[in-house]
Amino acid sequence: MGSVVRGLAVYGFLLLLFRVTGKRSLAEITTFDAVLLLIISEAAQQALIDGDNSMTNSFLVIATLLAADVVLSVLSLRYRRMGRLINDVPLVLVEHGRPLQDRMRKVRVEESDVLERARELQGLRSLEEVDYAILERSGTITIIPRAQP
Amino acid sequence: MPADLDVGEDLPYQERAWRVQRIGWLLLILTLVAAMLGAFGDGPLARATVASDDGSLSARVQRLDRHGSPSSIGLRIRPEPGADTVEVWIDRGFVEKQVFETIHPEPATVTASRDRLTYEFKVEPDTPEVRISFETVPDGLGMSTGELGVVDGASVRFRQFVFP
Repeated sequence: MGSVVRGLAVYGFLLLLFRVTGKRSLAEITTFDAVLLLIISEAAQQALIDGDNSMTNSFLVIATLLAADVVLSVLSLRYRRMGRLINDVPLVLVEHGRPLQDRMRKVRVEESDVLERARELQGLRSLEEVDYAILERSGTITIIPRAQP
Repeated sequence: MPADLDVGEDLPYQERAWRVQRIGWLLLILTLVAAMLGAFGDGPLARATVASDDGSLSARVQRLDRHGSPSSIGLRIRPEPGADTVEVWIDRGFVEKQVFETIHPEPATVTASRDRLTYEFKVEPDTPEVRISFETVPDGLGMSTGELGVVDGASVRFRQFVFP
């Protein structure tokens, strides 16, 4: 029983925390973000295992986490509101080369982040060449280049 | 939403989500400040000292504690003049919710009875004050009350909340 309860508690807590801190929290994956992620998983492990090092416990915890994931994805498919709540919604950050400043500030994205992605994904040189930049639900930025005349 | 882009934006929801997020950040900070103060155990708010009316017994206990994390109960006792032993009892209900790791000093004897455990410690006669510490690990969850005292002497009651 403890394994399932612990699994659900940790799943719920992490989901809540990551939704509150925003989708960009650890999505950038700089070196430091990667290190942070490792430390977080290490800290979460303590709560999941709680001194019970048996294989049964570890299997039950893994099964619980995956089951919670499946249940939530089924629910978010069925109920649109639930899906929004769990997965967030995408947001346009740049429209026809014009950065939407207050949106970008709210999601803590800088112009340089957008430009970096524009270079990386499309080989674009400036914001002028960006038609749309979109902050996706996963926290990554995608770029649609302007059609060449 | 831009007419030529099917991206599934939802600005009203987004605005609401941002508001909730701001509240969430505030709660996060408050939670961390509370944690620094010991609201979740391990800090000034978590510790308490309870003393008997005549001052012959005082106990430093953890009002707020965490399951499975090392804790302690520290006793200060004024022994009876001339006595060469001090006998301390702890109520059984409380003992059963703890794992006792070590007791300093080692008790000479431990006697179990129906509703309490009694520890007998050797002391040098006419010592003004002895200090005894029980290193424990809380094993229960939630609210519990504990009672401990000196045999035929003062006793104190305390409450303890154990976080998961």
